[in-house]
Amino acid sequence: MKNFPTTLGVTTALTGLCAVLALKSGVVDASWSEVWRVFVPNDESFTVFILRHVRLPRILLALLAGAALGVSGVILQKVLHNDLAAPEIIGISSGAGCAGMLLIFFLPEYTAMLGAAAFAGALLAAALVYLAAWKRGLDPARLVLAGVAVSTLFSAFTATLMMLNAGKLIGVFEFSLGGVAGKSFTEVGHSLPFFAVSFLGAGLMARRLEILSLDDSSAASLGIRVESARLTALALAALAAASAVSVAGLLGFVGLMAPHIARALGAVSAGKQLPLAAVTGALLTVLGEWLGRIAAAPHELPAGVFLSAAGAAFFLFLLLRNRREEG
Amino acid sequence: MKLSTEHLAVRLSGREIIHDVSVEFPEERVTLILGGNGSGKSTLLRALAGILPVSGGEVRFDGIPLSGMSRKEIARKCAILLQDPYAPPEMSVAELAALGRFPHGGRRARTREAVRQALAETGLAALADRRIDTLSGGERRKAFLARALAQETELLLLDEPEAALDAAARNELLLTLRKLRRTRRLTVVMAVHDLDFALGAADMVCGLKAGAFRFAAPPREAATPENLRDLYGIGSTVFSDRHGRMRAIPDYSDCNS
Repeated sequence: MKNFPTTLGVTTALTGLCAVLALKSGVVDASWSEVWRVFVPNDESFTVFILRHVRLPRILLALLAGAALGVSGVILQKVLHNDLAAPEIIGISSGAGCAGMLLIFFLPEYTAMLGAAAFAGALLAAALVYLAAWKRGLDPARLVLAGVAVSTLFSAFTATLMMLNAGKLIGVFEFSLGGVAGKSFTEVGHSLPFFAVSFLGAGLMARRLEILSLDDSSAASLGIRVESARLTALALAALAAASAVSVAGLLGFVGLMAPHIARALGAVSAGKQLPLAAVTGALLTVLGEWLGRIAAAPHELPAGVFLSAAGAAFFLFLLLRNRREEG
Repeated sequence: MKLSTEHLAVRLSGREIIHDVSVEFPEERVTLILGGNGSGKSTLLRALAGILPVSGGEVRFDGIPLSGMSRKEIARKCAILLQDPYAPPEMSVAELAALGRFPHGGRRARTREAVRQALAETGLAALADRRIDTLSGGERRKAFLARALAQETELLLLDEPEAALDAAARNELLLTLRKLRRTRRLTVVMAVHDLDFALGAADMVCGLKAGAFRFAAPPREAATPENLRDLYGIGSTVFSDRHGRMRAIPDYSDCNS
């Protein structure tokens, strides 16, 4: 599709449709009238109650988390000049998840601070990757290797934490797989400021991101302070990923897939790719959430299971395509 | 615009690459910087563009020190075409050119007009929607030149623009640069690898060796076999071609003797 507003409009409409279908169907199937009544105040019939207080917050969080991961992926790919850069791959999500888990295990009374803790972990992971990969510039291959190493380090630490706190694993297992089950409007309220800042920040940085996608000298010659702009962008990517991890756990590959799909749909500049990747990420995650509820009903699978499977296939596809293009 | 340096020095990784360069580049003219590999040409150009910090002395635009200007102010006055610039492969030529408007900010209509003009002047109007990775080497170089032109600066610095281009692409690039200097009244400073390239179009030639200027003079005084031997370590034949333009051909047989 050449026309960007049309592409964005169609993708947004599709996402909205999926969100409504996800709200309507599940273990309890609702009628269209009941779906409508979710938005009518003072209607507290049983089905409407489930839709409003159980499904709606989950769907909202899935949409927000997916959008944030898409935004994070675009920022990382632009700034690090690497198509494989995504929060899940270069360790940012693992860092956020590890810090989140530390909070859940050791300071469970402060779970309202999950977003802040995840942000701190994500920043730490981003800093480690940056320092490990930097050698008179960022080499794309070194960056992915450093990211995989940092990701593995945090995952190992997280696994150790889980083993040592086996008695407190309820809820943590889903966090590690990625999903929004059991979330309420409380989590929506706690996470909203983090999402808002990361979306707004990314929007304000769109033009700078485009400049940062050039080599450092060209970027500097266009009037930006490259290092400070890059660090700001990385902090924003970390914040967006951390916001997602704090509400949806370790959702796999959305940050990788969404920017690529947006680009395949014709959105190349950051100004176009950011909103389209956000919508695409939201669509993927809400689909994962919905499938998780209906695929094995009455049992429920975390959204992350489907997203990881789709993402792994997508990752292999990218690698094979790159190999074909290079060879 | 008047570009000058005063006792300019640049250090990189603890080593002084440029030492004590003082020069005034002629306004609205083409200056060539000649020098062998590692002589400091690229470093000097980057320092002139304000993208490398200087360790001593000053670079001045119209007498104003760069150290007193903001990054965006510098970018509104000076554009640089680097030797091997990178842009995302899926970016279109027009999108790349539009990035040149970043220092100006402002209205979309102005951006569109500046991009249109830059693409027209570089002969890329028909390729505006083409992806960068589908262009030939010469077209790619011109796409980056279009980005520099969209900056609408009075000063244009070029780092070995002829590198990796065939004879036809070099000729085309030279014609484009000549026309641009005239129509845009640009002050052009160009570091070249091939000493023959652009010699005929230059108003001043500077010779750089080990980070210091050995000469800075009009071409006929500067491009002598002695000076060129001093820079490159081999002899060369300097002559005027049938159009009366200066040419300099390295005497490669020197290498075998």
